[in-house]
Amino acid sequence: MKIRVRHVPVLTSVLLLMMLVLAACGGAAEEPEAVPADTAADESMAMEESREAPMLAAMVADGELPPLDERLPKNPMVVPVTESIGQYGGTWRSGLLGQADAPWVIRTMAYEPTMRWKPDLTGTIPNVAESVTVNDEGTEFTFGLREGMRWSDGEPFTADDVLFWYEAHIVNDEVSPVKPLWMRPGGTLGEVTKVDDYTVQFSFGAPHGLFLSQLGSQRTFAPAHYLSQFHPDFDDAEAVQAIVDDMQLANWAALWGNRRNILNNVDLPVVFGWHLTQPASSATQMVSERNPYYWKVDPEGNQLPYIDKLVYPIVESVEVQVLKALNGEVDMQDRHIATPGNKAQFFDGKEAGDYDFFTVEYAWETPVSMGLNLAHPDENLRSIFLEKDFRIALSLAFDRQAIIDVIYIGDGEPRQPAPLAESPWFNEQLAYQYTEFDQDQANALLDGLGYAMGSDGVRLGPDGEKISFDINVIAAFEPWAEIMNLVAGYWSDVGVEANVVQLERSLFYERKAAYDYDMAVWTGADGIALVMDPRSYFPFSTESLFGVAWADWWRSGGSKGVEPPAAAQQQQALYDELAVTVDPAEKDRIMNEILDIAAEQFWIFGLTKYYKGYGIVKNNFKNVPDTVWQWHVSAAPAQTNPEQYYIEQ
Amino acid sequence: MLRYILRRLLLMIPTLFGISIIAFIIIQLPPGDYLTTVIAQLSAAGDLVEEDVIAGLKARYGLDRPMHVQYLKWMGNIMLRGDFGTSFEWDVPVGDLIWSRLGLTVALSLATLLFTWAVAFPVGIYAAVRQYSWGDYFFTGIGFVGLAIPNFLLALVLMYVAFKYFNQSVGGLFSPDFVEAPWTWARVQDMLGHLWVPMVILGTAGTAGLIRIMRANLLDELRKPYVKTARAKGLSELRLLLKYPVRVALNPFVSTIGLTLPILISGSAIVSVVLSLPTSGPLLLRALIAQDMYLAGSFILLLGVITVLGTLLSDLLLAWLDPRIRFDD
Repeated sequence: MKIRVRHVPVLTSVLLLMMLVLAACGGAAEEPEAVPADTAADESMAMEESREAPMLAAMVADGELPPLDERLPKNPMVVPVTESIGQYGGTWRSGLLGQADAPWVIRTMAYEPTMRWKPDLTGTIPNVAESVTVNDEGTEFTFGLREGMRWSDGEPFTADDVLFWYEAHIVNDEVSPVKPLWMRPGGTLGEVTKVDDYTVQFSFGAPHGLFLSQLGSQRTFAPAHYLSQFHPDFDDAEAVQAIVDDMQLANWAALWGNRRNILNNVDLPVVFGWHLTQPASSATQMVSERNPYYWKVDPEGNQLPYIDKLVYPIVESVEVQVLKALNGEVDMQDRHIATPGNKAQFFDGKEAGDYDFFTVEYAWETPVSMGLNLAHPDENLRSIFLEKDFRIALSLAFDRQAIIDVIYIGDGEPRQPAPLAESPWFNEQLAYQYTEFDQDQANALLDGLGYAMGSDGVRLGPDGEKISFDINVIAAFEPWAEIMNLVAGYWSDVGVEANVVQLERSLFYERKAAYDYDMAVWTGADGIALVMDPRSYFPFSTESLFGVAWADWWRSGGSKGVEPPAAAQQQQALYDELAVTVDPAEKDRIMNEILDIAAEQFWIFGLTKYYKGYGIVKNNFKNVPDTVWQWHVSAAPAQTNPEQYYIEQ
Repeated sequence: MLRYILRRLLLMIPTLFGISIIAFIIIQLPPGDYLTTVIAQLSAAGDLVEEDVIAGLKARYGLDRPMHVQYLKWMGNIMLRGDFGTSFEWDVPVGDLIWSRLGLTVALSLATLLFTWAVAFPVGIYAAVRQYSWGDYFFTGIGFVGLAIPNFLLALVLMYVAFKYFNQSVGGLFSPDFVEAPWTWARVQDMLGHLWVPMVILGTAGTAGLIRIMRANLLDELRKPYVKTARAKGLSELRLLLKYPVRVALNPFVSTIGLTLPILISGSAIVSVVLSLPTSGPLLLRALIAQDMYLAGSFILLLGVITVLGTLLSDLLLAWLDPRIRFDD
């Protein structure tokens, strides 16, 4: 690692020596009247003086590192602590399932976007940006950066790094052939300009109502001083090509991706609390150590993070990681290991492994949402699926509580994919309509549609053939195959034949992309901050199981997919409006209107509210909140500030 | 003899080309490509992959080009520059990736091979010479159990035992303290402490098979007239046994070398996954699942080369060992 020493080391050491001498003299003078109160005061003095980790203080004393004041920005970000001010030191051991398990790395050490989600997920606050102001139209966003903030190699972080990110990455057609949606509200790419060294402005052609939320998972900056040597627009093209050849890569775009890879490039300057020292490609473990230039402090002004080092052993199977946790070799983790099935085992091992649980609340609507392909290429099935009464009948025909009791040991609540009660957009009708178990009414509805019961107990559709469809599930995340087999059993009671077909994951995605499926099952999306992923309320994305073809139509501007019905088009238009609305009250109104239409249309149905999850935390591992929201957008548990976790020594 | 070796070596070239083409096609046969896998992985429980990310990746990996173009580019780079391409998933050159795992893989496989032979060889001879004795039944029983239990199950059981009763850190080949440590005597000891688990697991199945083969072959030989003749001539029993029938019965050991070599490299994927060993087996498995083309393709090509070489080697060894199958020059 390269460390810039800005002062003459001798001068620093002389100053330090003088301070030490003075401190010693003071101590000697006060010795005769040593009373407890004084010692306490001395200790707090010592704490105040050393507002950095001992390992960094030692480096400063040796002249390897500039003093703390020069490493911190003028106004460091103050991070509240969950329970108490922490102690420096220790190693946080967790684990990666295979080398490509990047999400856990981001969730623990690398969630430092421009804005960040609050721990309760109700909105975003400035993070790497110090402040943000928006003009009245919502087209111009001015970000103030932190003066004196530095990259992990000691180089200053300025507006040029934001500009570099924009010019080198976003504007460049080779690395970004398609520009990110969140940078082009209304279709055209926004512009980034430098106002001064610590101020940048993002301006868009249309109002951008979602920008500040979307920045909660984006880093709109890149280390210009390091990365420009790998970019032909910023450095000699031949020199860049030489590096490409030397690293045996296909082209410079591959080099660009490779050098920006936070899991493998130890030289990449970062703004995270820890920086990589051993890459994940080393096969056995990934290691990160504290960033001496981290720009956050606790309420008493001590530089964060508290923990010295993060170690991620790379395991190939979940069972090994579970055994490691039982053995007390995992300090804090929920990912992969904390499944409902493992809970009893972890409960028994609490004492031996010296750990306890924390509660994980899922910020998603439901673990099981069942979407009929409402844009099915087969005309007969499509006409059946499009009947709202048919969907209502299917939703009424299965006993949700019985399935919850069997599969989730009673932990849940019959519910449709809908905003959670904690969400500002909770909609009671959408959440609970048609969740009662009423096969008589289901039969009545199906009779009403004219689907007469055939001789073998299966109803006949409009074309006189049996009503029969496939349910596509994959073998991951939730016991979907078991659940859907139970559900299909109930459906056969009311004369609808459904067959569960388990697919390999990429095949599932191929089929979905080709609109070639009858019913697909997946998890629901955001239950709290709906605007980020409203897939269950209207045809929003390829994850909107009921209308992938409709979503494609909207996203492609009508050139792909299938034209959706009027109600869905109205919702899509409302969302377009939402995206360019800045006023919060107006945004709420539009979102509620979208949800009202969703409740009326009843596009998709589900099984239950999410069960309560859990995670493992060692008894000496502090400042982890008792309850943590699980949400991918806020890189949970990162919204609870892992830099303030500490290990009691 | 030299001409024979030369001819065999020349024949290897078209064989390997065939292997590379078939490997490349098979890897691409499943629906989708590496990007589909990435999208499916990122979409896990809610993540949404934006179009811009996908388009960027597509251009970066050159996946939008037709299959034969991709193949020719890959093969061309191997032939001209010895460049096996870059792994999509790992973002590092394929060569580095395979090499970094080869050392421990070969160490583990060799240890397993020696363990297998050290056990199977004497036990097989004993079981044949003392046919239907108590010892024969005992080893036959153990052998069948070893053959019948799937390796991964044995791995899970041994792992649980190591955790429950020995309080040992499970998974991998080192304790947490030694993972990063430089090579010292203590680290070697630590590794040996972990190595025995996969060695025994991988060894049991192989041992059982070889014991049966050794026993059957030796029994055939023991009944042949030349054994009686030798015995009638007064040759000591041990010398007789080792000098003639055992030497003949060794043939199957040698002819399995050709098949053992690729296993040395590929490791035993499932057991390595279960035990989280940093060997090449899990790497290959993951590459195939993720359709990480260049990594999987290079791996299979490498295995092909080694199998072909191994077959040649075992043919030559057989000829050296058994004068009856020597070739006419």
